[in-house]
Amino acid sequence: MEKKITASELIERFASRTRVLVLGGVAVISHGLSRNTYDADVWIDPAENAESWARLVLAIIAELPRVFPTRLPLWTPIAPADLAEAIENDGMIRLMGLDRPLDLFRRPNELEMDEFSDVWNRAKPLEDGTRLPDLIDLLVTKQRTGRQKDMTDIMFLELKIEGQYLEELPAASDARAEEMLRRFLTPNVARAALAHPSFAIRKLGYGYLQELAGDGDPYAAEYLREEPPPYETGKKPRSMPGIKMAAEFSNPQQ
Amino acid sequence: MKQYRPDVEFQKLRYSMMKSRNTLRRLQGKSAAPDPSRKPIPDNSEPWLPDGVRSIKDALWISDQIAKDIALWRRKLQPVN
Repeated sequence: MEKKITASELIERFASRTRVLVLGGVAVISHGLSRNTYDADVWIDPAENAESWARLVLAIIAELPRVFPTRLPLWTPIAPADLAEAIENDGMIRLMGLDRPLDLFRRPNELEMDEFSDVWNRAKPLEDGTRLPDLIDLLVTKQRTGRQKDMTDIMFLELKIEGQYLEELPAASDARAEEMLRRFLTPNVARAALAHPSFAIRKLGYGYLQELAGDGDPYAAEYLREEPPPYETGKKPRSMPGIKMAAEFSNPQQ
Repeated sequence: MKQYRPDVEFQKLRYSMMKSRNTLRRLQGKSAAPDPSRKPIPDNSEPWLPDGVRSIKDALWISDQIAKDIALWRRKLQPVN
């Protein structure tokens, strides 16, 4: 009798043929959050078009008679001839017949297909040939899903990134500080930029605080009430007592 | 490159919860800041795997252990007649 293949074994088969990024609960657990997950999510290299993506998926699952693709909204089975159309329209499919459902994405939430290579280059290689997206890329995929469980993931990822930023940002070079601010911004991070030695970075941080407050962020509005505009060049930036609080929430496991 | 910013509605929710907690503590005559006389409890959490997650298999193993623990505690916490 044929042994039932596991989702992780099948992902390894994909990883031996194409680039595979880990997403969802598996990725969040890999970054250190203690939680369980019902399924496994991976982003398969979007390939040139939906037809070539579907061909690769069909070639890999052809060796596994129990495994079959299904589609949203009710996880109805997809005929092989319809797989390209399904992935083109839905951006993802679910494979059934494994030890747990395996969701294959071509177009994940909040990321564009042409961003795959950038995300791949920033990701950490794992021993099974897949890669783990960095914290910020993973956080982006959790936005605007409207699901309660994603709120927990968002809190964990945001606080972990914020903790790293608050440590690195005040002493980062101007170029690095600017790059950091352009990628991830919270009121605490913008406020931490006000402690940077460079006037340009302090000004950037202050401008971001004003933008966040203008968008309705209550923390940014409160910080603006407390903070004077950035000091001119040559003057000493003020220290930021109390701003380390968020860092203390970051998970100690990683 | 897109810049990540927290969701404003969620920020409002967190802010209002923080303010409510502080108000409640003030009404109870307590300070919103942590009590400096209290000894902080050290973080004694341990990683699931000594070398962290090295593969998807490792992450799914952690997930399965947590699912098993939850099921076990649900059984243990069933009321006994």
